[in-house]
Amino acid sequence: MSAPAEAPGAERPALPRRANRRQSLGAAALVLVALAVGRFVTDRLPTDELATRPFERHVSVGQAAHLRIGDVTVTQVRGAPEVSTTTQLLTTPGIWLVTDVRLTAASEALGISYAAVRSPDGRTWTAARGGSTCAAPLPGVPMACTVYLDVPPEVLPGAELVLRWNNIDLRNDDQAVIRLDDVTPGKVATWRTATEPILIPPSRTGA
Amino acid sequence: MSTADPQPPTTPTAPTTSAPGAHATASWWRRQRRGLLLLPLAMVVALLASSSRVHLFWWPSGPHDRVTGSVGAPVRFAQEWVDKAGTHQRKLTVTVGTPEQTTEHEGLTGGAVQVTPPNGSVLWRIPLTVEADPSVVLFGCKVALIDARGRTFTALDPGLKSGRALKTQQCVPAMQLGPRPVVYQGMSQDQDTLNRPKNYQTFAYVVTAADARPSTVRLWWDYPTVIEVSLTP
Repeated sequence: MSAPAEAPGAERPALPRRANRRQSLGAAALVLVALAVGRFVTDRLPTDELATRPFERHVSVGQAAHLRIGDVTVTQVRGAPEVSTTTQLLTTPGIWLVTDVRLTAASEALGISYAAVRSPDGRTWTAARGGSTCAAPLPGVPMACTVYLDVPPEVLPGAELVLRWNNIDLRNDDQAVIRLDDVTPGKVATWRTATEPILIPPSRTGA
Repeated sequence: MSTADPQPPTTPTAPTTSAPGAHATASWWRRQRRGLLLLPLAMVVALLASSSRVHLFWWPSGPHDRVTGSVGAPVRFAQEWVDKAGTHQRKLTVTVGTPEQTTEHEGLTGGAVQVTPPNGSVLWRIPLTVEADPSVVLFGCKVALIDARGRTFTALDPGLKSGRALKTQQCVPAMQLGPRPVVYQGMSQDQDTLNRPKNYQTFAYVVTAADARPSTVRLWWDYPTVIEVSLTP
């Protein structure tokens, strides 16, 4: 049995159309509110730079920084205008900051490939001209090695040394930050007058 | 005046339809059922579409494709690899024996060389029995020992003290290195190499911490595909 045909000219009831419009407006309002809440939240979240900054382990000279890659201890800090590696003599009008490091890798042969000096005024000098012999350690076996970098002498008092394994991606991973408390202006002045280069030996595993 | 029959009294009955709100909700679910069914599929597609970083950065950078085996049992391995000469197949069967501690290392030109491992470490010798066509490039193989604590020991510059140069190619016999990868245009794959037999035995060497108890031998050329042989029965 067919449904009765609507009479010609008859209008559909107005109420459902109004209800549909109200529903659409309500949905649009909800979307706008959701967008506003999202913006409010994201504006208050840390920026990428802050959220991915490295985890810093602050220690003094002689103290071990327990990093993901293993334990890193700076055992001695020296300085001179010249250093001598196994292949070349390097000189600078500034200071070669030379740090003796004891590295005990945790579970993989990950060494130290990033070194930087951070001065109290927030500037950073990386080891672009320097280097690290702390490479390919044996997990669980201490390695004696050296990290050296070229810096202006005036930034050393009150500075910090930053050491980490990865020099390409500085996000998220942890790093050792060593306070150079003993590096006084008097000590830096003495280093500037040194006439003998500091020797940079190859690393020694099992030291 | 008509005299119609009296109508029976109306008996109240239960309503046959649900409340208007419930009806609207049910019809909404019915109207949206196609979209709702497709929603999980859309989520999976969105995840797959955003997974390129996993493939580009994570998968090829580590030992994520493992061909596993047991100590003393042959392991078949096949891998496609690329050098300047084109695409090649690396097919071989390798049997990994039980590692044993030693103070002798094979020399660069063969023969045994007495070595002293660094303090706090020991040298392990891992027997390898290999079957591969002599034209297959096995040069550049890397070997690692993984201990029960999950520490990975590779054969990178272990600081061994010795009186003579030591063998550096882990998976091929000294002086029988076989063909090498072509690393620059114009280089021949078999340049400066000696013939390698189809079947041979050799040793790989790895230095570990003295307290390491090896549980797995890992052997590989190019990540992500590696051979992992368990040392525990």
